[in-house]
Amino acid sequence: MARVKRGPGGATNRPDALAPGGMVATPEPSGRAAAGLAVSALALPPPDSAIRVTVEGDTPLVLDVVPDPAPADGPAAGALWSVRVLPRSDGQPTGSLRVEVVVDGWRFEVTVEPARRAALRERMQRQAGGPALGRQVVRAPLPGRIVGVWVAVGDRVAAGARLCSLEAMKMENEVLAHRAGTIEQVRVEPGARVEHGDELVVIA
Amino acid sequence: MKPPFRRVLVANRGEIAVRVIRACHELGCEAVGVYSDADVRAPHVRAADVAVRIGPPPAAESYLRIDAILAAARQTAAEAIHPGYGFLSERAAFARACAEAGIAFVGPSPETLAGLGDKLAARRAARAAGVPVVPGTLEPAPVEDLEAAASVLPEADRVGWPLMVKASAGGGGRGMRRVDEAGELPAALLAASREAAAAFGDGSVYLERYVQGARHVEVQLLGDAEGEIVALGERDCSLQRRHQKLVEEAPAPGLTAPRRRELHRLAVSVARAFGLRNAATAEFLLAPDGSFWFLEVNTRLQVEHGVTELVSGLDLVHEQLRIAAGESLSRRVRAAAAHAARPERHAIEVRISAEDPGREFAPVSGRITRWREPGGPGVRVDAGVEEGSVVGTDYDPLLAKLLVVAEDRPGALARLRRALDEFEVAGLQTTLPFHRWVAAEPAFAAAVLSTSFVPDRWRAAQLRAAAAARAAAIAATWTAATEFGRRGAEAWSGRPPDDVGPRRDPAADGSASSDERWVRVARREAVERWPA
Repeated sequence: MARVKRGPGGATNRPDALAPGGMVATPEPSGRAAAGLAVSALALPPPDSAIRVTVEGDTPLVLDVVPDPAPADGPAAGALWSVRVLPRSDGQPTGSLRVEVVVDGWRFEVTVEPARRAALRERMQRQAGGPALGRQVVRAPLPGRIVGVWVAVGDRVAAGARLCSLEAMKMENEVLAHRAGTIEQVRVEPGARVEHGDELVVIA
Repeated sequence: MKPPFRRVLVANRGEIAVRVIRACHELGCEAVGVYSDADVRAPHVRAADVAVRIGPPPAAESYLRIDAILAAARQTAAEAIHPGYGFLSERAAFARACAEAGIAFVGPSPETLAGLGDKLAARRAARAAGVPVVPGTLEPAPVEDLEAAASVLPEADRVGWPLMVKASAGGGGRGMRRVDEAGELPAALLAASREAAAAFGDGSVYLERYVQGARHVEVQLLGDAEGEIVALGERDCSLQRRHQKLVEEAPAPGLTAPRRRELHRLAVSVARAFGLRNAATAEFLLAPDGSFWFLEVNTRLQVEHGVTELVSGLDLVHEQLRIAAGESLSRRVRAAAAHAARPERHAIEVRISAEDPGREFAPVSGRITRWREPGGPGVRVDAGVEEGSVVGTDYDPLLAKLLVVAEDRPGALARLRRALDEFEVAGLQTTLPFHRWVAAEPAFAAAVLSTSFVPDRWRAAQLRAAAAARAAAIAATWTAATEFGRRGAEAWSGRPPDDVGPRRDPAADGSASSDERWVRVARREAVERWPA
């Protein structure tokens, strides 16, 4: 498991599994962040040099990383990776940069920005009132063709209810409701072609 | 040796089209390619001597159009058509249309395609030939509505649970479903039938027992016009997910020579019942008790034919073309068949697909921004894409096959791990992380194989999370070293291409700059981003 040592950011955590220079500052030096768990609310103010890294995914991985300018022990031998700058996307915070990181064949889209700036933005968002819970937008889990829509606007659905069927490549896949609610919008009809991430149904 | 044909049209795309075109050129035949609007710049088009447009991107309007392909063959005076796999390769109507147009179809006769294409007919014939068939039904199940479908329940109980619903015209996992209990069966029958009707124009489905813990083994067959049929060894294709093969190897691990001979003999007797000519593959289940059960025959070149080539030393496409030109089985084929039960090499193939193994192998699309294939001794890559290729969702997500061969299985596995380390792809997610896991998985090294190997052992979330943590550290390091891409990004992109991108890190010696040690790339060129 992780070796813990002191770094410029105070309590830092330097697991063996991390790639070169990676120092992960966590609220407690518990090593949980390195295990891939999201750490979204950081208690300590980030040091000047820390970088907020958001690895996109179903559960985004959010870490404040203090890059080690000269790592004493070198990178994990055998690690394979590449980094490439991606074009900006909608809603991307100013001053941040999106990159593609490929490591051991896994491809990630990662947003990086100074941790201080990210912390400031979050504080302002909190003061302005947090995002309202409520509507769930059900998106296409994979590209394909809609072969059936099983709900209409106004229907009440239970969690796990079938919303529509999506034929992708070779199989029919059922798209299910993740929670109970009322169907507010149906954005597709049978026969429609959808791309991964397209909105299918909105549950209010 | 005289070329079997002057000019051959390859009615396919992607890696298999490139592979067949290579064989044509080796035999001294000219190759005609065909392409849809999505493939204008595809490698298979450039590999061909001449290429003909056959329609817009959807397969139904291009690669599945018999008339367009025959018109292309006539226009280019092609003497033969090689269908590859998928698309029209197993359509009796296509083989018949070729014959009527006076063009040699590189594959079995229309009668064999029709006979074996009907899986139910194949099951009946295999049973008549004395080959053990997986228990199940031999007639199509009623699928008019849920009520009619429910009428097969007594028969389903006789077959035993869990069972498989399969499409009679099926192939490649389409129209196939596993059903665990009676309540699910009627709906599964209807869904499978609908899927089969859409994919094959025939919604007939049947029931087959699901054999727990079975391995999937298959036998490569070749037959000539004189009726001689030989088996060229078997392949183990147990590593599957949703009936899609992911990894294949030859020979099947753990079989003795007598057991191999028995399996090969069963396969030849099924093929003989249908008068097989050219190439086909008989698929079997190998039950945990060691018994073989016939599944079906695929009347085409398989995706995984390469592992048999690497072990036998034959080129199956060369042999296909010679047989299609009327030659009888060659001496080298007979010699390979004689040695098929005592293979002296081991080959493994992994399928590199545009699928996300972290998201249930969902197909992904995008532009390949980096593509570096492995090389060196015992490594073969059959690819249908290259750097810059745009991968859409109109076709099968298979991008390339990586094959390795060595004198034994441990040697082949070591070679596979080495080759996977060399394989670099960026721009879209591929199945590479899955294959890296397989190659390092002790159960695979120990050949503890079954068709449930992947669902039982593959834990994508853990592996992906560990890689995500590493990606975070890499991103931060890169960001600091380049000051958010402002400094050095251009300088790095100006380095020789070989110095850009991933590499195996040298041990830290303290003298190299941190940039050189860990940071690669930074090309700013805009790339197509696949939807997040």
